[in-house]
Amino acid sequence: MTDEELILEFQKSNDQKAFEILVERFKNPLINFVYRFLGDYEACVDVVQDTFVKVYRYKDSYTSVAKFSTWIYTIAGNLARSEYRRRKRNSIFSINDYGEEGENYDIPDNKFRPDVETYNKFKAQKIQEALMKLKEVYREAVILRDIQGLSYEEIAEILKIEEGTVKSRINRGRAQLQKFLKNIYKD
Amino acid sequence: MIMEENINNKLLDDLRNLPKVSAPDNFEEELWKKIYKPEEKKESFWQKIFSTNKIIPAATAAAIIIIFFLVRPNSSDYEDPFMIEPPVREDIITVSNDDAGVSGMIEQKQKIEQQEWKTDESKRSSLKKELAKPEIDSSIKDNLTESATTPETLSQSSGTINDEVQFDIDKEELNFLKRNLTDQEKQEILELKRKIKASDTPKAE
Repeated sequence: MTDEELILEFQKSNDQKAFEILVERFKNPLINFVYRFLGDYEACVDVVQDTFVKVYRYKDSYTSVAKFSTWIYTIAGNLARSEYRRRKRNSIFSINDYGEEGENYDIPDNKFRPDVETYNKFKAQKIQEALMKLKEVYREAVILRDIQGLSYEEIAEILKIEEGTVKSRINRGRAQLQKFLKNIYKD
Repeated sequence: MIMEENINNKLLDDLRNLPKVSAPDNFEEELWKKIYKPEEKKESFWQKIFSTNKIIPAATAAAIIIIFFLVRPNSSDYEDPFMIEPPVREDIITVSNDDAGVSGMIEQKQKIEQQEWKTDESKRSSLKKELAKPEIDSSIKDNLTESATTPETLSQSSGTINDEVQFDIDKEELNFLKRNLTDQEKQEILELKRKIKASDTPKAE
């Protein structure tokens, strides 16, 4: 069954099994997206759980016009942005305020770093740090395109902006990212 | 596209191949707990301000302040600013004129005028006394008493009044342009003018 069929099933008969399948399909992609955006694993798990709570409670607000993945990414993106801004407001005197362009961000929790175990520790950490230095709008677009692998059209729908704007944001984000990582990518 | 070419392909590959972060084992368990937890109602800004635990102490404090001002023991000493009469505009103007010395000048002028009036009055009264003498023609007397204040009538009758009286009249107060001359006087003036002209012409030559 497709995602759209599952959500329609859940809407019609309140089938919890259909909802569980959707959770199973989307929990990891959403966790990955929100983690790369927030840089904090615990916060990202909370945001993704809240996303599914919203899907469960407001299932009827979904219309079959849009793709389910676009809808759920929009919810997750909105919640992630709110959480990021809330954390930014509350971290005025945080030791984490070392962004180059006035960007505040949190140091990822080193006690639990799933990426550290499987990938080159140093490089992954530097990329994540560089991502956190990007402006919100560029970071979101780069993550959705280069990490999540979504199409420009899907990203435009999720962010509710024009496709041209999406491309522009991605290009600017990549350029800034390269600038921040110039010590790694010298050539 | 041009910008994309400038981006290091290795960076794009590394972004694509970043390790995928996965959900914790107890994700679903925590999710169901959250779903079954009753939804927390978020209070709006106005609800927060006017909540009972805030509005009651605020109202009490306001009431205490109002009562303190209304039932104060030394309330008689208190001068209500709303009861003080505002300064009148006229007073302000008078004060400003005094500063400039205008009122003093006006008073001085009024005194001078009063003095002039008194001297005129004394002159008139002396003139009346003179006219009251029996040798003066009764017609002239009537005429003078009727219009003693007007300088025109005085000048008209000046021919019959003696020299002493004529000397007392101040010429500055008389308007010669409005003077009604008799035919005899007109002839005398014309003769004088001719004489003046006759005396001037040889000098000019």
